[in-house]
Amino acid sequence: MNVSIKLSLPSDMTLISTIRQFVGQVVRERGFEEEAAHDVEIALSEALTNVVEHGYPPNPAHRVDVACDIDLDKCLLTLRDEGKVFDPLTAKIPPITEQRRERDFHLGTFYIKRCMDEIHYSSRGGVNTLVMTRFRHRPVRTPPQLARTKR
Amino acid sequence: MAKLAIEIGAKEANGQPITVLDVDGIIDGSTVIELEERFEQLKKEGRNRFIFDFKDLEYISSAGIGFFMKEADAAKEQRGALVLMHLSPRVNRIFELLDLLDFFHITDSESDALTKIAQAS
Repeated sequence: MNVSIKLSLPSDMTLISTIRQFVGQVVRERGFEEEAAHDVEIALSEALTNVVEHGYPPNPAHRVDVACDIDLDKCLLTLRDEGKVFDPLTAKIPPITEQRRERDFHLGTFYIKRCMDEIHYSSRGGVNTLVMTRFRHRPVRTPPQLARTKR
Repeated sequence: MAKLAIEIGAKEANGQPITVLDVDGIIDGSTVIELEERFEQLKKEGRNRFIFDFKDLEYISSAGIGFFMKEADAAKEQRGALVLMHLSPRVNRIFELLDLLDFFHITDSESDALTKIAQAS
């Protein structure tokens, strides 16, 4: 049986872990294996953080809509917000090795790309939509190359 | 209920003091500031050898990973040491996803952590 969850949240960092845990639990109860469910949790947490931290000025009056649709093949996460545009596919983020000298890291986008199988971003009429797909059973793929960071 | 609890203890190796931080709960965008502030205070006290015990850490986000990357680099530059201990499989995977397992000193045993501290600092 398919499951659809729809949430409308204030732009509030303190809520993210609760939402992550809830969605993760639902995904596991729908039979996703641990690695897939963990990927969904991580990507959702990082994407929500991007919206709250970078998309909106600090004000919980702003909102972000989260949808999680689970079927036999996949889990689809959809985030909608009206903040600043931030496309994880095109955002210019330095490699991890270069970020080490900066005060703030931008690692969330790396996690989203590592965890999710498909990512789509659009911005129309002031509404930004991020759609991320994690397949229940992932085809064998070569993970995107990240700069190896050695001490 | 607090999402993050930090308990601070002390050990010793080769006559050198080591600060052990038992970090319980969740390190994410909403809790990392508290971790940063507590750690900054410890550094101001002159401490530079640290073991982080993650046995009760449920989750770490990219905000937490960034904090540890920065502090691991700083520890190396200041001839100190930073070791991460008792990572759960889920927390270990979060480091592994960004190929960071080799970047940090990570161990499952306290005696190994003390040895790594002695070697690094």
